[in-house]
Amino acid sequence: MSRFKSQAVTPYAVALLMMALLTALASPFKSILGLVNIAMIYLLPVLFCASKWGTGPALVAAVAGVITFDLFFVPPTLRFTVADIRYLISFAIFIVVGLITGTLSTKLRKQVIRSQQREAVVTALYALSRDIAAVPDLHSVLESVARKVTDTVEGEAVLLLPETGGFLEVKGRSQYSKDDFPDEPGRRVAAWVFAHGQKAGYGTETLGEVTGLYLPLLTEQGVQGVLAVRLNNPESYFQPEQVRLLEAFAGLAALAVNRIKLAEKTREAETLVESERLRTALFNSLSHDLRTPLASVIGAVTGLLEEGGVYSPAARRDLLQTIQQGAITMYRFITNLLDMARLESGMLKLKKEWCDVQDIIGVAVGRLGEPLRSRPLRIDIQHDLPLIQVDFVLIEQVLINLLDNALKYSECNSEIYVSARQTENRIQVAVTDIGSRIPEEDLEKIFDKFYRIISPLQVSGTGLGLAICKGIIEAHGGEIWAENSSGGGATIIFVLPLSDELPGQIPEIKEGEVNGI
Amino acid sequence: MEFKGARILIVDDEAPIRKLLRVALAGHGYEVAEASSGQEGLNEAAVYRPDLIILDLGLPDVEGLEVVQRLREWSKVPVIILSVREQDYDKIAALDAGADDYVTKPFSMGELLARIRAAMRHAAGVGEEPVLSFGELTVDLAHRRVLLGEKEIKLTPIEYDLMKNLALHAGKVLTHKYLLRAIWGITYESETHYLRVYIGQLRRKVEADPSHPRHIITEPGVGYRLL
Repeated sequence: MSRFKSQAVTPYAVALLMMALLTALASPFKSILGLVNIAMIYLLPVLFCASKWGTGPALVAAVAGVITFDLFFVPPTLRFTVADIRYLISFAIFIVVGLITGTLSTKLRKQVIRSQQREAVVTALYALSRDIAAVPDLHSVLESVARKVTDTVEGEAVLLLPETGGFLEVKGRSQYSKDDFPDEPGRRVAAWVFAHGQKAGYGTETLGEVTGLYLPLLTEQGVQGVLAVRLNNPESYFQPEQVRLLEAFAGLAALAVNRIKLAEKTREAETLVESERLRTALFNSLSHDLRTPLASVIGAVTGLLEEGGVYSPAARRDLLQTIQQGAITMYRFITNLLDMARLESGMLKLKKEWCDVQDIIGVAVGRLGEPLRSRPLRIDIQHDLPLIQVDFVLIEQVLINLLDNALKYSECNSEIYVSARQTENRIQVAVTDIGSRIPEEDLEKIFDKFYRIISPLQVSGTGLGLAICKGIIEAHGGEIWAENSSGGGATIIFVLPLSDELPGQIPEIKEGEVNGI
Repeated sequence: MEFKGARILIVDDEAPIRKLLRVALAGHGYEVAEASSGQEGLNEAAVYRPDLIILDLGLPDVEGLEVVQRLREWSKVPVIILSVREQDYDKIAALDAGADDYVTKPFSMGELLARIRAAMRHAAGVGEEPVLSFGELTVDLAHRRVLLGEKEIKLTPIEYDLMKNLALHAGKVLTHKYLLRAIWGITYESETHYLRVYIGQLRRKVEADPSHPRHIITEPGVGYRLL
């Protein structure tokens, strides 16, 4: 406070001081300079004060100038006489010069300050809009706005957004804002602002008795929320420029909130469409892939139960095989669905252990049994392939699915080729068939759930096999993709990373024991 | 070796599975008793004195593992576990606790019968013959020799040890833990990669095509079995 006063007094003191100094300096040269010139010199401090501090100090300088001039230079010196009245003209000129210059410079200074303020506003707005333009999540946007508000006005800022049910919730607050803001009356004001779309609170005509200013986040789509600002110093008040700036901030925040809301809605709609598509696919899959084998099982079973000795042993065996095949198909279908669900829900836990890729391939080949045995199968495994840390059962599942696909999508009697080799720090396994090519645009899509390519071979399946493979391989940190081989037919390749650690050394034990030679 | 007339106790809470097993096993000449809970199974095991128990892992009252443990306190009767794919962990625990073998649902009857025969053969102690043959593969325990047809195969001491353990329990699954304990000792019971390396080596020596093993069969996640 005292500092504020002294600042205001200084120009007047300086004005008086300058006049005193000038008088002291000029009086020895009174005879040389002449009264007219000295009067001119006395104008200088007036001009100086006017341009530097405005009208007030200039007037003081002018009055002081006239008095000292009259006292020290106009004869008879050191006293006022009636003859001095003619110097009223000089006095008037001094004052007029002081007034005009002072007013002009005050106006100019005000303009400068205003344009500086405007620049600051524009800069702040620009900075904020840049900060929140590309941010996709609501939380960061609100934090940015709150931070920017506190940077600009010395206070704390809180952003309130409506929750489901229309209640306003604090969604963003500036770093130093206290939890008690806005208080209960403040929240009621915020609710009013949200409902009416008008500002209210401290420094406004509406509900001015609460602490804090409440501004609506307005967009064309309605009020998005409320910006609440409380100044750190409860005795200071909001400048009109500050309010305008805060309103601009609120406008920007409103746009950002609206943008994010719309983006969310779009995303939700997309998810909905996607899940709808999946549901339809699952539905089609269930109705076809589950009902077809079930129908054949029921047909065969009723046939056998109601026969009455018409079937030959060979026919009976045929029917029984139909039942077996149908049941196996359904079992595999349900297993696939469950596997997919497990993969997607993250319930799948990898049981990693050191595994021999050759062993996994051997087990998978053995598991497919008869259908694969009737096919020429070529297995090419790099001789000194290192052990790899994977979940044996899951990688076996991947290979079974790939081999099963190769069987289904190629002509019977055509060769199936399995290879495994090390490439840098990964192990690459490929399953190739000599069958139809995969259309280029489907090379990626075949790993989608329920996606089936149209094949001239009537292929039955769930459309889940490759999606499960992809899920398992990715859970291992590997990659899987499809290629069309130059010789016709398709190759599915997956790579698994070799872990950095090596399996421990195997101790040689039980010395002296040698098997018979 | 015939075990016709042997008594089998089925412990499973699912009536359709019990019925299926009863019909099929009776058809193959076994005498069958049933229990629908773990507690009932343990009681029946004491009263009925079966020659073999088929135990489902998903019992409502007692954990399958606990049934095996309590049974093993007083009985050496062979136990075959019935499990579903999701019960891998329980299955291995039950095997390590003393169950003899396992069959995963859905199983083929032929597979189950083979397991029953192998388990009974071991229980009867007929695996202690000095020369064991598996097709063209012969393991001569008395002379510490392994032959493929007429040709003798040179094995390192560990390879031979592995071969001997598998051969002594031919047809039966041996868990990783069991094999590691038997060959390297209890300290190494979780070092599965020892087995991966040595089984790989052994296969290259005794299998015609190591990618298509016909004798040393991998039971994924569980162990190995010699056929």
